[in-house]
Amino acid sequence: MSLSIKKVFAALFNVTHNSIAKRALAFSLLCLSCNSSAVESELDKETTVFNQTFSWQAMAQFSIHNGDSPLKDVEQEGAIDHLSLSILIDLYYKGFFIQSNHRRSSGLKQGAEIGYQLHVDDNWELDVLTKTYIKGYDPELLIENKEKDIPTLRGLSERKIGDGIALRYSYFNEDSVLSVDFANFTHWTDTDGWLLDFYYNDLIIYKNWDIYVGGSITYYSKQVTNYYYGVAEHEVTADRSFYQPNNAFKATAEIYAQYPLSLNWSFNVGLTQTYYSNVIGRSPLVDKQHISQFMLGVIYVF
Amino acid sequence: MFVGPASVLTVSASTIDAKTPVDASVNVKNNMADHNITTLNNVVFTSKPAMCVALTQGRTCYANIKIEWNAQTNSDFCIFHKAREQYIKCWKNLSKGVHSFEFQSKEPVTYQLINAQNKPIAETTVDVSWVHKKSPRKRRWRLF
Repeated sequence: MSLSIKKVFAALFNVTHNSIAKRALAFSLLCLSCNSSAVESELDKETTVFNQTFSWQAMAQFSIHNGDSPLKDVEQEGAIDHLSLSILIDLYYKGFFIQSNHRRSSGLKQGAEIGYQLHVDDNWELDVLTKTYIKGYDPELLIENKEKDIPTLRGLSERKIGDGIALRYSYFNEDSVLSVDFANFTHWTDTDGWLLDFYYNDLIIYKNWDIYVGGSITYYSKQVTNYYYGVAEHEVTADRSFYQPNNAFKATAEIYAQYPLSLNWSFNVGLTQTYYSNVIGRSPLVDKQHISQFMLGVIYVF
Repeated sequence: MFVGPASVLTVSASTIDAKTPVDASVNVKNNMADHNITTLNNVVFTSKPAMCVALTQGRTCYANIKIEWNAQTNSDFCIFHKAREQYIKCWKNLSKGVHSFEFQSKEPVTYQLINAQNKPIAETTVDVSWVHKKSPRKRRWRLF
């Protein structure tokens, strides 16, 4: 494999080397003490390095996507905002896994998970993992990229991405999965607090189509809501009043379909509807509580 | 969906040996990506496409397959499902024929062209493949 583990970490999480080292060390310490009963997994390819065999799978995804941010006046504008090219890499080695999000149109930045299977049973699994749960934003960069002034964001401090360490319980029933993540942000990012994420997904197979129907409810602690959607006293301006939100939630419903085009190519299409609760909706930084997101793309499997 | 034996020619599956290999020495097989052609004694036997691709290993694969045959002289011919030992369609006193149907299988399927003497004279295989290898690790992905 041409990519080193460190590069893979960096590519998937877009974080600094110090942060990667911190995560890797913490995961190693945590997992050395675990006695995993995880079953051997098998991905598309296998590579042996120093007599150790890794399973891996690499894909490239090109997609067109449409969907605005809940932030006020932040909208997709040029064609570049709608196009995305992602490299997706999955790795598995004795319970450790890196799992990219095959559906996400910006796979390099978000959705990938680095984890360890603590316990694997026939119909349930317990994992410890780290992933980016919340997409951050840099107000200065947003204003610069949009080439227009956004008064509610002008002078606002950067909200960094919300990387969390989580414990995940998953229950599998035939072609459906129900999982619960309890993620903590303390010590991992600038965000303090935690979130609870309930996710359900059901696979419907129709001829060569895989159709996934599902939804989620994510409950954010007030520290998390305050960091991303609050306005601190020193950030108050004429366009942005003081705001200190409480706990909040986000609900999503999604449908996603994938179809094989050839041995290496597949076509995928998805639609997600998201609702942000009133606590987030009342933030002076936000002007959209209902967001529809659509993506259409192709995946190449190496 | 497979079509049963046609009324054009009535023969019994038990009267032929479906496992009899087609003579390889005179059998020219051209297994291209999009179609599979077999020629024998000036008989052309084609399946198009030659491969059915499913999304994941182990799934039933669906495809619309067209099987075509061409002979130099008129005679009686049948298309035969080798593994099931089942006639798919027959023609009487013709030199060419086409049969389209919806293929569905988890495994490769070999079809034979049977002549009037109930002998397989050519065969063609529709392979089954997949984009993603089956993974025992269960997945949890979300869109956005």
